[in-house]
Amino acid sequence: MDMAALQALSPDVFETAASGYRTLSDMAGQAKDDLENGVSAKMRAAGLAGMASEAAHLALHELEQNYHYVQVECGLVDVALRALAGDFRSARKLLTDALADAESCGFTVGSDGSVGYPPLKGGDDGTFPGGTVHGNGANRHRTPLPGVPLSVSPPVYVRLEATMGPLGARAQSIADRIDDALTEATAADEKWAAHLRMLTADDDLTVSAADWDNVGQDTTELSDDTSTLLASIPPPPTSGDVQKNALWWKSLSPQEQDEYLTMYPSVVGAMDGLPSDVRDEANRTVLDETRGKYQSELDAMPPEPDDGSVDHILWKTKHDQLTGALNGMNAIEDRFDRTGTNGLPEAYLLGFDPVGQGDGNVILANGNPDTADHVAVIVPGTTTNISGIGGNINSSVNLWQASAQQAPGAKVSTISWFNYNAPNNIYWQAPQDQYAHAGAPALQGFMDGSREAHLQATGGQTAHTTIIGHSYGSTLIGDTIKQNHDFPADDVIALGSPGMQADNVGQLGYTRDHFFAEGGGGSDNLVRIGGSAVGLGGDGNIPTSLGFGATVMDGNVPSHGDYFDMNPDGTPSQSLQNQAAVVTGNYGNVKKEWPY
Amino acid sequence: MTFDAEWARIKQEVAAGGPVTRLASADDGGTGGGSGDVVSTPQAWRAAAAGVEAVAGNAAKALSTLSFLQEGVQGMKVTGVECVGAQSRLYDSWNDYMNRVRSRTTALQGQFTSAGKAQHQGDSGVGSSLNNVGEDSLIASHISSVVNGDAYKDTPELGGGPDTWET
Repeated sequence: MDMAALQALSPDVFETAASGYRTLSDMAGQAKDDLENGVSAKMRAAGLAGMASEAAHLALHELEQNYHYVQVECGLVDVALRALAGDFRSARKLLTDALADAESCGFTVGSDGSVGYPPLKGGDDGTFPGGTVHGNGANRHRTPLPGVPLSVSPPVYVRLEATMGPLGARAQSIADRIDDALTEATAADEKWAAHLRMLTADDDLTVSAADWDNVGQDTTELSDDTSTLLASIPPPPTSGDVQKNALWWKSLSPQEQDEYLTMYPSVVGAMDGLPSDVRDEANRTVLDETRGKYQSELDAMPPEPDDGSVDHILWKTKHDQLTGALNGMNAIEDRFDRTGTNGLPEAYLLGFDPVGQGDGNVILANGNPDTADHVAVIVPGTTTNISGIGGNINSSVNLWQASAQQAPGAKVSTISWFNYNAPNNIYWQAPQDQYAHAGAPALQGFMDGSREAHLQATGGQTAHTTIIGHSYGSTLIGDTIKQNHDFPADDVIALGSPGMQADNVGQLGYTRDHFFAEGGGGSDNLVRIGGSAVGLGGDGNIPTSLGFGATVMDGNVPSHGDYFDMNPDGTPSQSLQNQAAVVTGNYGNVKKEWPY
Repeated sequence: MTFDAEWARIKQEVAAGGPVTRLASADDGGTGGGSGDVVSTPQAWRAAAAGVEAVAGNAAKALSTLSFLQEGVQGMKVTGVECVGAQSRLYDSWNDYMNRVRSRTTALQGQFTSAGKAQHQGDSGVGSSLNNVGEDSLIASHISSVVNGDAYKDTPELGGGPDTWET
């Protein structure tokens, strides 16, 4: 790039253009939400059914994908253009500073960046002829700073002073700085032109897995070169303090929030204390990019090798990992597509990581927890993993339906929380406490963050909050409460619990009125008796033990996996009704076991 | 064949006791018979059409803003800067993409509007169940054209592909 080009280049116009892409990105984000939570959901709420309705939902889904693609990619374009403007601005500053110095010295600057200086005759500095010098690339790294006297400049200029005189040496230093500016501008130009070419739109309207994979790669490739731009944004707190997280986010300008979310969606999506709609936005991007990546990897896998070979074992491991995670991701998408059915509110994806602590991380809310009157968080148990997460999401949907029936008019949010390494084996691993112990900080962080986000959204109010642990999930809850003694849940429900690391509710800081337990038949007996025997409880007591001091509910649950089932006629089971009664604070509706 | 004309043809076939036309463009899965209940109200389709129309309107506004905010960089008189050309191609690509998305949005709105209208008109003289099934299947095939039409086919090229926007 020559001097005339760098002088004519206006960083401002690139920033203005960037704002255009941000406008497009924001519109597309809104359009995606409107189509999903407005149009599609309302068609379901209106009860439309049949082939036309199915075709409509499919078409709307395709359109949502178009808008989501525009939202994410144009967000990247915005950040890229701003970073580009910043780099050009920095190069232009080098140039204008050098030109100003040349002018103040009475030097002339040629269009090629050469610097002409007048002769020096007599005086203390001696006699030297005038001349013209060009930037010397070899000395670029030794260029003195503007305003620094030559006497303290790098040795090269001191030496030059002896041969060219002080004017010649200064002219050389200015010419070198002009050269620096042009070199920096040229490098920025090449780098950003490559990025901009990478960010051009797809040439077709089908947003395929490969397209999303490509979006993820674009983000990764941009992140190094946008670090200077993002360095001006204060970094997020690392302490895990949810209030600090919330205040950090609020302290950012809308543009900084956009830039941070665009470049680091997985960080924003996982940050406890941030508004749920912000986390949802970030996690949906991570979800689509991850799905694209995994599907592309699956599509690219070679044919299955012969059974029994090492290659086959490796192939199968990878294949199962990819298909398992994709199952989970598809289940999340399916939930998005159910909004509106039987009044189901919009979904918020509050956590997503295909690997997480090992089994994956999926946190999904039905209804906005930040503004809800009642929040319920369900923690699943043994053998939970991302592949089967659809079942856990379904449980939270059923609980929402049951709760909405018991509290018409109230805002209810039910959350399926899964972000710990659940025991994979009911016989060997579940009897150990280590899984619960390791998972406790993440659960505590989420619950604290949920409370903080509610306080921020409502101007200081908290939601009535219930934590529900199924099976080993209740052990995790017990461990978490014991580790922190400040657990933000008003009510606790333990379902099919093998023990909660405590021998009574008082040890966990609760009273019988706000601590509920339920047991089931069949396999549920094995889990509870087994848990009690191996010491997951305390002093042999588990939540359904008389001595534990919980209110034991009668849910008539046939076996360990049936706590969240609907009745065959689609009405909530007694177990769901009991939970919903607690969740909505209608404690009188709980069906208790004798003698409670 | 227009929506109205095609619907009129189906009505005649049904009235004459013939089978409901199997629609070539519809998914092979369930066109002939109709799967499950058909529940449909003109109001719901009209509301959906209005929702999609609002999205298309916002898209048009955002495109105008993008174009307006682009004027500075397009009008910059500078040579020898790669980013200026790259930015221009970037703009062309997104302007084109968004225009096509907006067209798709408008097309879907049109299908939803037609769906509401067709049901609003009602049809005497045609058996109600066949009426529903035929109508439902016809509307479905039209809506599906906004997904399966030639204009929406996937190509191997991805965004930022070397051959897409280089001229």
